[in-house]
Amino acid sequence: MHRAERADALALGLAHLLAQPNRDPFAPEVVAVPSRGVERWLAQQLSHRLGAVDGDGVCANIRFPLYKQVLDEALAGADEQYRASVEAWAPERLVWPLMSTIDAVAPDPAFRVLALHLGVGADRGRRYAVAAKLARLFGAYASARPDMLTGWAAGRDEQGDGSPLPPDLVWQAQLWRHLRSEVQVPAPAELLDDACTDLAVPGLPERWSVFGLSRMSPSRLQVLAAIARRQDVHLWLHHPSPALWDTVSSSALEPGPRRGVVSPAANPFLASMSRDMVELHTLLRLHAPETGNEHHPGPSRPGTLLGRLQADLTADRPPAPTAAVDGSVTVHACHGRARQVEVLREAILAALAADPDLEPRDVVIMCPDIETFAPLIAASFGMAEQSGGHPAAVLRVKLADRSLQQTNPMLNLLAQVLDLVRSRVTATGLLDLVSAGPVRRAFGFDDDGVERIRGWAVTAGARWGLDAAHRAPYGLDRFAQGTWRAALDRVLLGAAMEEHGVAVGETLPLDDVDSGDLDLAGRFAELLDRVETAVEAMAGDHTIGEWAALLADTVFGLGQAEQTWQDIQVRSELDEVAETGAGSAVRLGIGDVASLLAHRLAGRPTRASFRTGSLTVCTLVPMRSVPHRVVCLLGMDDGAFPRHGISDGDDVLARAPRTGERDVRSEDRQLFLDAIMAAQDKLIVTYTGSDPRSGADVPPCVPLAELLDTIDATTAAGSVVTRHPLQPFDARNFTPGELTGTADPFSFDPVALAGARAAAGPRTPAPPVLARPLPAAATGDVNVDDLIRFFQHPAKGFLRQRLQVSTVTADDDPSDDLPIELDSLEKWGVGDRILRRLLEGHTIEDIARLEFLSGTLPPARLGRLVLTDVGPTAKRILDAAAVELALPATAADVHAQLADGRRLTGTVTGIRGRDILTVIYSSLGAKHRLAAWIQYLALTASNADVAGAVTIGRGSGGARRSYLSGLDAEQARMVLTWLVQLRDRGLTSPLPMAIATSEAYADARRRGFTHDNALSKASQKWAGMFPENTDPEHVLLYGGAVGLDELQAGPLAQQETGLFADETTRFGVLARAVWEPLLSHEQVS
Amino acid sequence: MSAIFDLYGPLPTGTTVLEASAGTGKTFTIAGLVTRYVAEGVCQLDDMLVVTFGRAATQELRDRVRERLVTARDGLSDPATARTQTGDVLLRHLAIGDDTEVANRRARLATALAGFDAATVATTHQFCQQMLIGLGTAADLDADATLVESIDDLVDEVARDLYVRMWAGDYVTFVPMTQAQALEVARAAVHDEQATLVPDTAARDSAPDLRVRFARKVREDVDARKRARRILGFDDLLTRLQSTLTDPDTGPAAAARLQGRYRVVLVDEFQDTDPVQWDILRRAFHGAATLVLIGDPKQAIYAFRGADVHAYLDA
Repeated sequence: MHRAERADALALGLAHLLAQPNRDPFAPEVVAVPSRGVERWLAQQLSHRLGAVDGDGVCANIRFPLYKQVLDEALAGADEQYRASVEAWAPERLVWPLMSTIDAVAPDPAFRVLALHLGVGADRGRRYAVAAKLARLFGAYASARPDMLTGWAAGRDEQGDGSPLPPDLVWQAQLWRHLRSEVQVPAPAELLDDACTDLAVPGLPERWSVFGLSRMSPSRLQVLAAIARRQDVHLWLHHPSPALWDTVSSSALEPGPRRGVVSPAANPFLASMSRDMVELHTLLRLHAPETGNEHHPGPSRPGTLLGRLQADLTADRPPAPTAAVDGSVTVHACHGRARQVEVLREAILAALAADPDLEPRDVVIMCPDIETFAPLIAASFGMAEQSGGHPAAVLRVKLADRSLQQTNPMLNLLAQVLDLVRSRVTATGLLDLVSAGPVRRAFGFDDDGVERIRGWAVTAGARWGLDAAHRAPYGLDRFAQGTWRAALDRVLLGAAMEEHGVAVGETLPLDDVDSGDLDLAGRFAELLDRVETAVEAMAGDHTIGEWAALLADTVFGLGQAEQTWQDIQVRSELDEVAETGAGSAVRLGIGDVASLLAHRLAGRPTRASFRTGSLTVCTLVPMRSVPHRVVCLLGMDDGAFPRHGISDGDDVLARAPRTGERDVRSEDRQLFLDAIMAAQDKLIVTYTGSDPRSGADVPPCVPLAELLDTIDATTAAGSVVTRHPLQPFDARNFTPGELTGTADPFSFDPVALAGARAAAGPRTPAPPVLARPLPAAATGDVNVDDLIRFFQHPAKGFLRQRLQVSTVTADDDPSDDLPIELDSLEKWGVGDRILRRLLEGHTIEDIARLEFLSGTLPPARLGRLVLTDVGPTAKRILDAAAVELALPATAADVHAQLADGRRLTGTVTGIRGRDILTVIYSSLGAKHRLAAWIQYLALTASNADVAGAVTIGRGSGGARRSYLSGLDAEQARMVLTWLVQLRDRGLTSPLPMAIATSEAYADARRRGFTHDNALSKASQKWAGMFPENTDPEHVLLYGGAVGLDELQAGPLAQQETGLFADETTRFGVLARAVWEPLLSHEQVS
Repeated sequence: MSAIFDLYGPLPTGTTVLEASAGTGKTFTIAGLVTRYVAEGVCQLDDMLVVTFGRAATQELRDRVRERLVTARDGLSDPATARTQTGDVLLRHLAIGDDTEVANRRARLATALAGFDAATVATTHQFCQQMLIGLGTAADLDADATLVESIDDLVDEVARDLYVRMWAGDYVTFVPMTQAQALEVARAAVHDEQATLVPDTAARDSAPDLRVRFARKVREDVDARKRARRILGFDDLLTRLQSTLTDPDTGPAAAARLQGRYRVVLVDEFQDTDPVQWDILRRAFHGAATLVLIGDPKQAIYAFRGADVHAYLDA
């Protein structure tokens, strides 16, 4: 037995041992390790020692198997019966016979509680979950308490020490015996004693090592001790305290119930963190009492606070206030996880800046919850391609221990498919699948393609469900509207033909699909078809072998890997799953399979690479705590560490735990201790010390609180805890000495510094979009439609017609719900379409059918409710135009000569008789009347045979009609010239006008309101219930949703002076100049 | 029966109600009680359950209890000084006795601190979750169930489905409420699961009748979908534990398990306990474990619930 406080001293000792070759120098050396993580590090360490010249040697012909494997294989190799037994009783294999056994015994009253538990679930999913759990438990019993299982086999319902099982757990012993006869092979526990008595191990050299042991189950220790009777086995123990070792050696501690055992350690922190180590020692004393043991002292600890802390632990003495706070241990209380990562980044940079010899590879970050922190770390470190120039951008970071699902997109796709298949297949769910990397590769969807499909899903109205039958579990199989089948039919029909308002059968072709989309539509249809096939196949129960094949077919049918290993990994995972249940006839539902795979896809320690040059981020797992100059512990939050480990009520071991039995809390505490001992220069710890929302103090996790207590007792004054501000751009981050007491500012973040400076500097308002008017644009002929569009929205007109800038309106988002009610905009859309189709001569019945087929209406009766509201309104508007509509529609060209010699051109359509007719579903408002006015002016000025312009829209209680008339050609030319020139000015700088606001003002003034009263009328349009000041164009030009005052600012142009003596603002003058001629020639009825 | 409670007198046994107004050092009392139970060897820390309301309160209380254990442990390393100092009455109380006993007390506190993460200082919901897991197959809980913060999305989905199912059909003569009202009814019915849905005497297919049927069906469907998707809302933790305890098949064994697990139970902010929570505590611990209920009688809601408590206790 070899012991050392530090793993490097242990490795050095191992190198000395290995330097003496075994009898056969060509036979490989065997060094068994507890986890994959330690293997790379140990090989590196040994390569610096073995045959080394100047620290440059070679590590070859050494096998590093897992020690569990070595011991199990040693037994299996020695004893054929034992091998068969271990194989049959492996938990992942045991689950299948266990399910059959459970089915068989369920009716027996002895298993009533179990049967009730299984019977309550809505599906039979619990059966698998319970069997999997029991299989794991039986496995744990076998390794922790083989004696209990031999007792059970012999018909004694005991706990391993002869005491009876708690009455509520007796069923487990009974179940186990049923299982035993089902499996037909004795359990390993029954064979263990025999196997150990005469153990010859052919596969192992006469001398081999177990390195980095921290906890070993009693049954494996028994095997190890048996092997050691024949062979030289060197145990290499990472033990923090030789003093504690001696204390335990001379104590009366014996294996037994854990409860009530008091740690013999004198240092309270050591007492709290070292239970696993003390228990291992206790067990070793029992199983290998005469083992020789050697202590390999490490280098002496530095005189820092950290060194003092470690020396106290090594010597197992209570802390005394002998050290000063010196920066070797820093604890950072932050607002939440994202800030922890930022703060840690700055703290690491400070360490690197303070010591030029320190390299990123000397730093390790350990984090109990790497999946949560991984994206935050990726966002804070190594973003070399991002601008901003943060010095940490060049730090390369290596994340270890991620879950398979995170590292392999094909496994992620597998998980996604399992979720999708069990779901309602919503619009967003399926579109997520479409945009998954492997799916895009398999179906050749590029960014544009994904966008097109998304657009189709929205316009074709896909909401959820593959087809009507797929909705049966929700009782909605009578409704096919909004299914993917319905949407796809529309897409495919749309690819084949134009819409033209004609349905084919029950399908309306989608307008938005052109011939160039044919191929994309086909591939999308293929994808949907494969999803449908998967959904149908996975609805049934299958054996695990069938499931593995089905899942492989589905995932390779839907996705294509970027790299071959990803495919291979999926196949091997599924093959392994299938192999565990080979020969079992047990059938599972999809819920069981999902639960089974979730366990396999979770994170597990990987072969981490230390000292590759990158900064390593890894989880806390045994023997990961190899020495690093700087050790960082990230995320030591209350509740996150140590792991919960709520004990399962069915776990016999948890009822009365005994020495050496696994306890995740105690394991995590040991890891915490190891991490602290592994730090050479600096220990940096972060935790959430303040709630990021409320700012309230949050205590650290308990082990960290204990560490802080110990540090307080070790220091005479001062604190190692820094409470960080909420924001990275807080000035305190950049004030020397403010946060950490050092002479330098804490943060290295240049962007945050700029932010802090800006926050501290004077506040300046944002500059206006336009500092001075633009030069006049070229004057020439003007199109009548441009003129109309300009005055319908002068701000938009300026942006579009002069700057050629348009504001983006957000795309429609896909919705996952069937429409039940329509909002006012959607209702307007329906009304507008109905009115247009009525004008085109369709019948109301045809129109209603088209609306239903387009999926915009709520289903069935709920949709008809909308139609009974909207339809008659449209009809009334149409009726109000009956006289005009009876006449044929004609068009007339515009060619008006303006007063300044320019020409107005274009075409006006919709002329009925001598009137221009506009029929709209909207309320009769300023926008449409102004358009009609300009059309009327244009045709009159062109000497066309026009009497007036009729606009018919919605009014309270029915239709309203505006009739504009009464100008001759000359008057029309005057007004038009003025408008065209106003537009010229409005193209050099925005006009202080807004259509409804200006109309309201002009109308009020015309009706005799004072300036102030008219303004308040205008204000209701500008910033009222349907405000114009929040239009994106107004927000862009005025820097926000401003008040009407700001619209009134600005001087009059020369052409505008003297028009209205009683107007004091340009807003007022322009409103009246544009609207008064219209209002005085309008009749509304 | 009521009397002035003395933190340094005999430790409470049976069921005790401590009335403590805000600001009278309730946290101090609880931390002191925990320390005494542990130090005097009445029970170990993991035999105790301390229930509070709200995560923040739990975190604070846990921190305070730990601090108290630490100062007591450290103070007892020098019993002579501890006996003579005046600032910390609890420490002085614990230091009185022969040196072996005081050393034992200190060792008990040290052991408690070494396993402090195992201490159950929890919100009612956390406690119920631990218990459901701790009951294993005796409880109505999926081993792989996911606990979700909010089930509102699920409730909305169910409500929309039902809305279409009930009122989009051709035979329907009228729709008794708007979508917004339906969602409101659905959420209210699910969130207050104890509430009785009325009227149940309305004429068949009248608006009130349809609304009540809608709400009932929402409850039913939400429950079914939760089970099918293996998700749990926070309130389910309480109701599942309650139903496990009241079930004639599983109840007695479950109660026995809980009593075996916890010997001393302290409940803070007792006035905020609702009937379900109280039912769980009563069935599990009343009459079987030491149950100390600490509450502020002056807080208004106490009037309703406090009355119930005394009635329960009498029963």
